[in-house]
Amino acid sequence: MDRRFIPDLNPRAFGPDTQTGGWASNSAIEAPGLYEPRKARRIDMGGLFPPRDTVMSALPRLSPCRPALVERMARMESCILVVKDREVRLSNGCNKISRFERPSDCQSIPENSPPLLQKTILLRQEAQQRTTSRVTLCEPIEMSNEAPGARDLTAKQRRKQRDLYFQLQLLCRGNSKIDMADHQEAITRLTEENNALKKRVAELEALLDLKKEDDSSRAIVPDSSSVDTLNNAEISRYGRQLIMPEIGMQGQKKIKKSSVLIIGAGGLGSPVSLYLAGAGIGRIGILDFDTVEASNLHRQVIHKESSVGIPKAISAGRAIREFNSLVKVEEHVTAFTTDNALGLVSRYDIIVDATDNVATRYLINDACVLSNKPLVSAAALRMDGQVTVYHHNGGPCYRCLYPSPPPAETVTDCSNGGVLGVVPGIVGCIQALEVIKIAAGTGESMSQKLLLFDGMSPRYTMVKLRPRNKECAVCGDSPSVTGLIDYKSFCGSSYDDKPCTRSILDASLSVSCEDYVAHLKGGEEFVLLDVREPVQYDICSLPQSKNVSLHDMKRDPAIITDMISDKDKKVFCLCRRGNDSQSAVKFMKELGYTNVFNISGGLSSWSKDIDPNFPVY
Amino acid sequence: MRLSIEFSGGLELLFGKKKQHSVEVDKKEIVLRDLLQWIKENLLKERPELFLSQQTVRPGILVLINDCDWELMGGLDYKVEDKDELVFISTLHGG
Ligand SMILES: [Zn+2]
Repeated sequence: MDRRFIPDLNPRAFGPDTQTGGWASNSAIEAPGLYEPRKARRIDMGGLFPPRDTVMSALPRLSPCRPALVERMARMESCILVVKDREVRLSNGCNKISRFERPSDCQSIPENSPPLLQKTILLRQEAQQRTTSRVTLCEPIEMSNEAPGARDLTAKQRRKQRDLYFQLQLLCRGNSKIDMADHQEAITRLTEENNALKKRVAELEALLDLKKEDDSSRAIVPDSSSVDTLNNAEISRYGRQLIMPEIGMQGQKKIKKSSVLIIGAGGLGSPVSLYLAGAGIGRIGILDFDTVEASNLHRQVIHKESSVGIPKAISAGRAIREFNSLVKVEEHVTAFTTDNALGLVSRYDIIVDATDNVATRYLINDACVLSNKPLVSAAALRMDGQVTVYHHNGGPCYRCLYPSPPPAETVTDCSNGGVLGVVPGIVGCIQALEVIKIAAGTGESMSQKLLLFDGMSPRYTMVKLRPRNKECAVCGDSPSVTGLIDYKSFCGSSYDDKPCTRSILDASLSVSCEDYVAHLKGGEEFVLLDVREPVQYDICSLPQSKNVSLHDMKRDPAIITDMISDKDKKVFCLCRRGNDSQSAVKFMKELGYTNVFNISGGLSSWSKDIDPNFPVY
Repeated sequence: MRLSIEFSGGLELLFGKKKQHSVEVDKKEIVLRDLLQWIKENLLKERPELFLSQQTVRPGILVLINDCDWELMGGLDYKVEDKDELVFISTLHGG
């Protein structure tokens, strides 16, 4: 093996045992000069090597100038191609191999296992393969001496390998000048496929878990596991709270008997569900229609990185099961709507509002009042949090406090306003405490009280609220709302806090990112005005841009008129998603500017269409 | 009279991003209805429609007088007293 081109090579960490053709651990090596002499390249390799002649005949053209290296690269069972700025990297993951799934690691399927389990395992294997190798370019094909465990691969997986292998050969024809644009598409597609598979696996696993529960409930159970008593496992698990006079045996039994529906498996739902499971709430329903995104993880601590792409309810349900197998979990991968609200609420004793939008809050409130269930509600934004209990002990409901919804433009959500992760954590924990107290029938509830948490000051203020309003539309003495209504039109907003793009400008005043780039090359003078708040501008911005926030220019138009004195000057307005920039264009038109344009879709389109390396936040 | 007025839950953005305001109101007597106008004229920096609508606070703002819901204190007709602590809080919806 020629090591001249591979400094810092640790033969033990890398590559096969050439004598035995066996496995070696994975590692990353620096290999300057692999493709171009001046630039350093990082190549990650690992895994099983097919026989030498197979490899050499299969991959003659990868890099003729470095036969030794090519051989080594080709010999690995799997390598990943990552492309960035025309730089071709082979890696498994990003910079180094995080994990490599060897065929022998694949779980073999017991012959007599039920079809559902078989399917789950297969899907999991497939998902794992995708996870570990985002684009698998080269895998052992037609190996004369079969790799350990390779026979465990399904026909489908073998086909897949062959396809990918073929792709690699095509790629190799271009040698080092491989244009990778096509493969971005493949990467995106495979990532999507992978997410879909992950989701399916999670769903099937949840089904399996439910089935297991069904099975176990059908089994003959000793008296100790009935809902009316605590078995030994429960007594030892909950011992520390059992010995509190505030809870005691009677309180713990009530906790065990109670069921709670948590609506929203996000920043609030995370601590609520974990602490309720910890306390031994008998049955926990977790509802969320959304899937886990990376930008959720800073506050939605019940989900893991590996859960990105799978439904939040499934991910949370799994976490709860792993945490406490003594509680029953029911995942509801659905939106909470007028169609299912009453049915769902009626199946639980206590409802937790851990949602993120006004329309759902009114819907939950009305469903709770109509079904006569206590509602433990909380909300968080930036550094502030609020917690209260509605429709409990004769106290007020949400509508008693807020008879009419706020104007949609005054509502700020976490996606636009931001939130510090620990803030929903704090208020979610208080929410869990309120649920446990109601379940155990102990202490004083937060009914008719509102806890205000201000993390900046820091202050926890408890305020006394009005009593139930006899005139309330839903919980009053002669209610006008006697069934669920259309909450989206009532609030003028939707059941989620997903960013949406609205259009307030004439189409002729908007240009796409591509148009802007074309203009950039045209050489005409112009101003690129980034109208985001400075705190966002700080995160990332385009090089030629100037920052004047929409807010500031409206507050003090002189900022703009001083900066751009020529009213006919060409100006492009840019923001995060293309909403504020439209308002800015409109506003500048009113100031008399004649040549102002909006860049459609803002920086999020820039990142999607022009520069994939531009960060999205 | 001397009053402590606080805006929170995002409402402070309309008041120069300042939460706590310690103010001297040059009146012997004032009901909350009139104090709202005084606040609009003296403290509010922008977009009055996001604070007041139809002579009262816009929907979604809770008013607290000395840590009590203003509904318990007489609402708009409450006679403001020296050293009162008033809080205007916008309800949060995020989670
Ligand atoms: Zn009510």
